[in-house]
Formats: sequence, structure tokens, C-alpha cells
Amino acid sequence: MGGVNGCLHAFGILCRGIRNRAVEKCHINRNVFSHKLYQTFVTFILIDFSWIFFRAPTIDDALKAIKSIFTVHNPWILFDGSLYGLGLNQKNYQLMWLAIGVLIFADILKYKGIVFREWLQKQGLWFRWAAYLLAVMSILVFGIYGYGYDAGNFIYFQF
Amino acid sequence: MKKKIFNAISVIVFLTMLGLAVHYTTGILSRKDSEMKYHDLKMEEKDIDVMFFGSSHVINAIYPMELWKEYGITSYNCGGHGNALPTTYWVMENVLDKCSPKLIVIDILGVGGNNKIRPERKGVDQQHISFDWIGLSRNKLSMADYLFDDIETKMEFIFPISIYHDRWSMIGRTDFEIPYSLEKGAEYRSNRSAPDDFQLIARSDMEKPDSLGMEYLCKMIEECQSRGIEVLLVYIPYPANEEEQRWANSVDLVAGQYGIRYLNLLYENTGVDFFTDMHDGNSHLNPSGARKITDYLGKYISENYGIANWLQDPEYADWHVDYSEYASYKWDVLRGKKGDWGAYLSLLADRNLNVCLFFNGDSEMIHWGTPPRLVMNLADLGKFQQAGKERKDYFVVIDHGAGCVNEYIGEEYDGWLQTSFAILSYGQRDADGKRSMTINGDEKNYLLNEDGSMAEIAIVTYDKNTGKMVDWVRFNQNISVQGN
Repeated sequence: MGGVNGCLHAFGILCRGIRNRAVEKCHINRNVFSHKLYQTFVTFILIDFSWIFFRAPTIDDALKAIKSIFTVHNPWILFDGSLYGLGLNQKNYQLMWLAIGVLIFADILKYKGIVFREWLQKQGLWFRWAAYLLAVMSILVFGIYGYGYDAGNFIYFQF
Repeated sequence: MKKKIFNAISVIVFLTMLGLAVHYTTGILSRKDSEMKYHDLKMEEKDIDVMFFGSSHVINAIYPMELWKEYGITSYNCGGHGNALPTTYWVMENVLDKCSPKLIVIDILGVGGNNKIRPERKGVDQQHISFDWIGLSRNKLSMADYLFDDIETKMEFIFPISIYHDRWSMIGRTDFEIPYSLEKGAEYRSNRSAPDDFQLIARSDMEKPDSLGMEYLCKMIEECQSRGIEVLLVYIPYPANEEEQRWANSVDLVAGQYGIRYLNLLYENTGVDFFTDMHDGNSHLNPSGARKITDYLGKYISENYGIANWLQDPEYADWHVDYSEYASYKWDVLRGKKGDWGAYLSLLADRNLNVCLFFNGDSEMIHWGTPPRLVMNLADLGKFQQAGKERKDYFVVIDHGAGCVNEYIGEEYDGWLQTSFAILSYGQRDADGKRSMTINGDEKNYLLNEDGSMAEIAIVTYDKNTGKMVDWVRFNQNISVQGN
């Protein structure tokens, strides 16, 4: 299913000329935040779309899933806890948001050229050790390993 | 050089802190079954005289607290769910690292088996109950190395956070305030179910004693003898099939070889009746059966081994406290079984419970196939079946405190009855056809339902030791239950 990503990429390259001309004609400033947000959103939607093919057992299932996006009306599942029955319970869901937050924070630091490791080394001993312990214990506790976890059964197993 | 020393110390201090963090986190995240079962053994400062090893048959058949109450014997039930004998060997090895009993009792169930542990994943899960409470030691490492084939499973026991880390999202109050077992390792399984079939074979009918289970039974005996601990082998009764019985019979040879006693309780007069005393039909005893086995073993151990009776020793006052907590737990279980008539009756078979039991002669319940044997299981009741045949009211007071049983059929009695726990009044039927039973002059009639009609069966129970009422319950034809 990596082919879907390849197709999207090829499509993006082929359309580059048309997109550039459209940007010029519409006088769109590509350096402002709103345009970057738009690009992020489009990329997010496209990659999510490709992951449907990535994760579904067959192409037929993927097409059914895409069809359901547009034909099944059940917005309440976003609010009634149904999502917690899909593999991540409520607490794991909360952990997921926390982990995404940490990831975004790390990305921002990297983007701004701040090296977290250097910043941490400047802190007091107690703080550094607490941070190290917290990091190791977080991996030990929240890590996905041990009985019931099959490394070969990761999301990439269908790749 | 100074910097190197400082760095080395820093590494050691950091690793120590990490080790402590892992240790305490593991303690919080671990499943608590093992801690609950073995907490009292861990905390006991005095030596425990008798220890029981084996599988779930032992867990459900031998109650150390009853052994204490009746015989003053201090004991602990170290049976493990699904334990094969090789597993039992390792449980014993690890327990003996911490305790020095005078007598070890081993149930030989599974002696013909050739598996180290129960084969499916459940077998591994069950071993956590036997081993999680034990800290890392040479014997624990040896156990993990021997019992399990793959490194991942070995690590579960050596480094338990690898299996329990997933529990972080389930942590609750009981992970911090652990509800420790009050049963010294035993477990109540309080249903009642009759077996399909059971045929006792001749005791001389044996298998050739050649199996992994037999090998480990011998290892256990040799280990105990090398430590100067006496060994008693038992076979807890259950409706065993013929092959299992042949294996159990072959243990006679092993016992003879080592010069130790072996009680194959299938052949002993323990009083166990598979109709009334099984929890699940073909395997585990319920409390009625367990009390019979516990009593039998208590008497046998007292008579044949030099095990002291500590009941009057002030050093063991904490065991009396433990017993009273255990009794409260027992009565809670009884009160929780009101919805299961058969189980409720089987739980009444307790020497520490005084029972007043009334059967209404007009009721069909007295004629059922099940109740008569369950009722007859409570005591030697000579008149119960006669009452059933003659369709007369039946009232019995089983007074363990006074050591007597008073039975009345029909209009046999009208007046006051002094018992060890209360003064009862049992009246004849009045003009409305209603009978009364009152306690200590109270106006309440314990034979009536909430709507004023006569109950078909009414039961009032008292704790023999505290004299307090335990429960009052009435059963009616459609098994509607009324109780306080």
C-alpha cells in the first residue's frame, strides 16, 4: 500500500506547475502562517487517506471504509466514548494526547534550534536525575512490550 | 582520578535510585493475588508448624484457620492453582527459604503428569500467584530457568514489570490498600455441584511409578528429609477417574520406599460426600467438604506428629484475632449465598455455627431430591426424613456450643428451649395454622415471611464463639429468598 503514498507524491509533482500558476494568479503569499496551516491540513488529510489503505486488510475493505466516511452519519461516536472501544481505552487515549504533546514540544524546540539535551545539562543535579528517572520509568511503564506484544504485529506488518 | 571515583559513585547512586524506582513501581503495578495470598506468611514472625503444598485441590480443601480453631495448629496453605508437581517443588523450595516448618503435607494430585507446568498460557498466569510475592533470589532464578522455556516468560518472573507495566491504566485503591486474604492461603469456593459418576477402584490397582510428577514428588520428599522436616503425603478426595486413581495408588510404593505416611483419602472415612461437598462437581471441594478434610487431617496430625497446640499460648494471641476476622469473612460469604439454596445449606455445615432450621410440613421443599442429603449433611439428624415422609413440620436446633442436636416433628414441642446461644420459644400451630419461633423473648416470629405467611424454610444462625446472630433467612417454593 506504499504505492498510494507514491501516487500522491507523483501527483503532487505533476501538478506543481498548475499549483504554482494558481498561487500567482490568486496572489497567495506562501510565507504566511495561514498558508502554512492550510498546507499542514492538506498533508494531514492526504496521509490519513493513504493510511486507510495502509491499515485495511484488503483494498476492498479500504474502499468500504472510505465510502463509510461519506455515507455513515454517526458524529456522536466522537463524544459518547465509542472511540475508547477501538483499541485504546480512555486512559491510554489521554496518554496518547500527552505523548503527542511531548512530540510537538520536541519538534518546536528542534525548529527553534534549541537542543534539549544541552538545556538539561545546565540544570541542577536533582532536576537532571529526576528527568532521567522519569524518562526511563515512562518507557518501562508506558512502553509496548512484554507478554501479548508481538513486534512483528506492528502497524507496518501489512507493508 | 577523583573525577573517575566521583563518576563511579554517581553511576552507582543513580542505578540504586533507578532500582528502587523500578521496585516500588513494580509493587504498585503488580497483580495483587500473590500478595493477598501470602501476606500473612511473609509477615509471620514465628515459625509456622505445618505447611500444605499442592494444587487448587489443596487451596480449596484445607483451611488453616479452622485447623487453628479446632487443634491449635499453626499452618499455611501454599497450594497453587494449576500447580503440577514440578511447580509445587519450586514453590516449596522458595517457601523454605523463608520458613522452617516441622511438617510438610503434599497433595500428590498430578503425580502421573509429565508437564512442568500447565501447558497453556493460563499455566504461566497461575504461577504468578505462587511466585510474585517472593523477591529475587537464587531459588527464584532457578525456578524461572527450569519451569519456563522461553526467555520472555522467564523475564516475567525475574523482572515482573515486563508483564505488569500494562496495568498502569487499571490501578485503583486496592493496589495501595491491598485486601489481604484472611484464610492463610486457603480459598473458599462455595458453590455446590454433584459429580456425574465415580467408581472407586481397588487400592492394589496401580500404575508403574514412572513420570515427571513422580520424580518431583521424590525430590520434594528428599529435600524435606535432608532438612529434617517430616512429610505427609495426601490425596485429597474428588471424583477421580480410574487412571488418576491408579497413579494415586502407586504413591503407596513411594511412601513405603521413603518410610513416610501417605493418606489416600479416597479410601479413608473422612465423611466427604461428593453429592454435598463438591464445589464444581468433578474437582474442588466446597467448604462443607473442606471442613471434613481439615478436621480429619487436624486429628491425624495431632495424633501422629509432635505438632504443638498453641491455643492457650499468649504468644499466639494474634492468631485468635486472625480467626475472628476470618469468621466475619465466613459469615459474609454465607450471607452472600442467599440466592443459592444448595450452596447456602452446604455452608451451614460448620462446627462454629449454631443453626436453627425449620421446614414447613405443608411445603413441597421438604420432599425435594436435593435438600434431604444437604440437610442430613449438617448433623446426625434422625427425624428429618421421617418428617418428610409424614409431611409434618420439622424444627431442629444444631447447637455446637452445647454439643447437642434437638429435633422436633409436628407438635412434639411447645415451650422454651435453652441453648448455648439463646432462649428459643417454639410454639404449636395456632388457629390460623401459623407456628411461631421467637428468640430471647423477642416478639418477632422468625418463621414468618415479610407478608405474614409461614415460610417454607426458615433458618437462623449464630456464631458459636461470639454468640451473635449471623443470619436469618427464609426460602420459599419458588426459591424466593427473604432475609435480613
